[in-house]
Amino acid sequence: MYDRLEAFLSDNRWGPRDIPNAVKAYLQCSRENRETASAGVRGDVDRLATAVPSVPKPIWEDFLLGIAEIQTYHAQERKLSVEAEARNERASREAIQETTAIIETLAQTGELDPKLQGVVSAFQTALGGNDLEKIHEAASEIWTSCRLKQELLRDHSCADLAKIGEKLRETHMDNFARAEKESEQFGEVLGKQKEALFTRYHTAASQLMTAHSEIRTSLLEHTRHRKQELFSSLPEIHFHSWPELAEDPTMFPFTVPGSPVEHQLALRTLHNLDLRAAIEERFHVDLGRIPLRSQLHLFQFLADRDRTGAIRFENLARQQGEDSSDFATSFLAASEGKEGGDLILGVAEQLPADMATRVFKHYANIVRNIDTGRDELQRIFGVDPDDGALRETIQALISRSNAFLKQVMRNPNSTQVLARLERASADSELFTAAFRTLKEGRDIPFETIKDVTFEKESGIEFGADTAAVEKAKLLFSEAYAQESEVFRSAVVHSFLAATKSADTHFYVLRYKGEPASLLRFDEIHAENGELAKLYFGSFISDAALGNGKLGEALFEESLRLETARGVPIEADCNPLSPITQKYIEAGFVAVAVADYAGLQSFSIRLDERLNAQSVTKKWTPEEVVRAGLEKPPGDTIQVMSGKDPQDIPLNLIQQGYALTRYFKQGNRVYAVFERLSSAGKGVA
Amino acid sequence: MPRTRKAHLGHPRMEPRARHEKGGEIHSTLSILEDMYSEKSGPRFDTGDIFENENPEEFLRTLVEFAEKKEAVTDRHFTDDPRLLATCGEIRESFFQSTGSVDEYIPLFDRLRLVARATRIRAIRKTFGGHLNSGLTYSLAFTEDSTFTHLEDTLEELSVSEQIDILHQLETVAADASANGQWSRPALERIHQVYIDLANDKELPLLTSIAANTILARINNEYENPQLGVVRYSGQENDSRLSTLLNSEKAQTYKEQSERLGRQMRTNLPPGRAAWFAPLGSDTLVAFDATLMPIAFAR
Repeated sequence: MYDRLEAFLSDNRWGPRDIPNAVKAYLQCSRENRETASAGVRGDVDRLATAVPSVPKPIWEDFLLGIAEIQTYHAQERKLSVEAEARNERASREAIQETTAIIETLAQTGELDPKLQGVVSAFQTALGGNDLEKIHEAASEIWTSCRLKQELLRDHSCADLAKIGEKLRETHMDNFARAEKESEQFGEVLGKQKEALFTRYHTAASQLMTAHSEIRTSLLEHTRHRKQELFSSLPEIHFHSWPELAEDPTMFPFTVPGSPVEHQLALRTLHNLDLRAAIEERFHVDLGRIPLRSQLHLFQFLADRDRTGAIRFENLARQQGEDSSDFATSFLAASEGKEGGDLILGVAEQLPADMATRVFKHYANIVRNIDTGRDELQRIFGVDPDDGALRETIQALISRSNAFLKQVMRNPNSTQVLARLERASADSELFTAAFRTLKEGRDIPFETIKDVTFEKESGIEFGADTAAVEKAKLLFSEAYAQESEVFRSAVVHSFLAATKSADTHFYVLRYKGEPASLLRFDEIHAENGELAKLYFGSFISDAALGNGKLGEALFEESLRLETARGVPIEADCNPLSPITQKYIEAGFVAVAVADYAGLQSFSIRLDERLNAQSVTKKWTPEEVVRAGLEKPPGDTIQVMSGKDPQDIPLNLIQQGYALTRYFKQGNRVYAVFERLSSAGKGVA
Repeated sequence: MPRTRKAHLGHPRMEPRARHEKGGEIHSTLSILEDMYSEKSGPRFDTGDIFENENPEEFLRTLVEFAEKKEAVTDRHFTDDPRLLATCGEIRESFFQSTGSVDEYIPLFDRLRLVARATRIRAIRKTFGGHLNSGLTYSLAFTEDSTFTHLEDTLEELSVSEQIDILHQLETVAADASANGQWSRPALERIHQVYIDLANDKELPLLTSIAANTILARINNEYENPQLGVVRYSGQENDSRLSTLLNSEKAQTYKEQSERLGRQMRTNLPPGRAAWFAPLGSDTLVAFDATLMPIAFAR
């Protein structure tokens, strides 16, 4: 809007007579862009007084109020004319009704004069529509024909028809005469008011016109300023060139690169807005709700020379109704080949409707995560979209999901298979989210990423993979190499027990299929069967993989997912190990010191209620350091620091304190102890 | 009035010589184009040689490929290439200002396909694209060509994307035929029949039939409200590629949506580069030029 106003105000042909239009356009822009001012004319006066301060406010007031009053005056005048028109319309309708009745009678008795046949047919056709003007026009033809042809007038009915026309003409003329008279009376009564109103407006307008050049400069300046302000407040959208999209190998993950022209053409066709509208109407899909990558592969599937697939899709999309977006989104499966598309159709045709809907929901979720995952990977690792590894990562995700679909088709009645697809859907989310937590991953070679998967598996599922269990045991031995044999075997024993438990689940980061990082959570249920709390049993990570950062990403993301379940999470850990600092800073609080297989151990607890009580959990590291120097008053909070964790009096925990903060800054370790009323309660 | 041009349809294909002798030197078409582009020389084509001896299709193809490559570079910066525009402008002066344009020597279907490819290039649309398109109108109005009579058979050889792109080109020919009046009526009728045949052809991919059906509705509208007139302007793009939307029922909805989006964001696109914006899918926003060719995308 401001663009157009700016162009108008900058026009070389500008003159004093442009003032009313410029004011009108300015006010419209100002209102549309919600510039602060009260509503109505008063608000508009304020707007103009702000934009053009050189013109005194009363002049704007006279000008705008004058316009408003003149408009009211004209509206009253118009009302008289509208009333006359309404009276005429009523009369016309009555005349048409009478005419219709006579024509019907003549048609029934067969007495309709052949000379009238043509005009009567036109009248009857017009009656079929709703356009009163057309009907009136056709009826007029009948009335005029009857009146002008003397031989017709001899016929009684035709004479009646001619009379209807005559009478209507007279009524219309009377109505207009009456309106004219009323208008004159109106003018006499309001004439003086009108004069006063118009004088007020004209005086203000002429003052404004005299100052037109100044007003134009101020309005132009104000407009440009507002435009700039508005422009700066808009979100910036970064566009990429069209060829980049066609060359993005992740759009065509399974196609051998080398045909960007054909890809460009396919994308261009897909973006033909009118064709899209036709596709949406024909196939009952809302393309606007489908990611572009899926649209492309759906389009290619529908473009097959053999129409069978397209027709099957058409029928099934209609049946899917509201869920047709997930159904259509799932056509990314077709990127692996036409069979992928057939697989989706097979699921829709052969599986019970509710199950098919669930399958598509999960598959569509995977597709959406692939999209965000791709963007995250590109952002975090700074990889070129042409990077083959990025394409392979996406290939792997699609192939894996398609494999699940095939399993679903082979065992349509297996709830376990569907559960695995659901799991794959959750894993794809984990994949993206875990990478997001990395924030900056440039020191991890992207080549590594394409062979990495993040999965959530039940204890029994993980235990069934004996090679994975062996690899995990090896990682435990390496991680606790410094500890006693008794401790190591206790840890491994606890892990092995969990691999047989239905109440345990693992978050597993696999590299080339082998576990490289592992988190274990055991579910602890109350007597009524409800989930009471979680026990965070193990966390091991192969430090060689991405400098341990991938393991950390898995830890942060899985902890976020488990916290969202809304029950406390408990764990035991070595107070002197650096990972304990990470746990405490991630939200845990150390509430007790215990003995675990002969080793001093912290009982730590992540509990939203506990954290809500804590003051120090909200402190920044800088605040902790400052508090360490200043020593907070009272004994509720104790801040300790030392070169090593051994320098910290950890036994404060046994004196009613909870350890709420624990981190290393510079070459010193800081620990914050805080008295929390419910600390220690409910700890296993 | 029909233009008095000689149509050489069904001209036998010849091996391209792709060379031009002038001033005792031999130059390939490509090297002449490169010289024109780098402003080393004007168009040193031996036009007689192209018409008499060289394969005109090969000549035009070389020209189109040259322009495609050059534009692909500037496309990445959302800008026009002034040197490419100048080169194409010179080509227009040399080959499209008089009777007997080079394109007329190409069999009709191959020509249609090549014109569709040529008019995907902005510099060609702004220069001689309209001439290529109106040349097709003329040929369709006055000549018979078997490659066009059985268009559906010939189309079958191509990908669906190219099929639809060619149908869109043909729609622009139909618009040109509508604008030109009585003499071009036979072209309009032939194209109309082609769309009816394609819309009902069960052997073609369904999407092609859907596209034909959509265009059929649009050319009927085009006949009532033509976008093109007899007078054309320099730099006009829609006389070689018609906007795919302007005669559509959905045009107003898309226009309002586009204006709203345009007001709600700042972009890195040069001012005036994008004429339309549309969200196409749950994850992509696309910017189009005035002929509704996509030029940029944002996630």
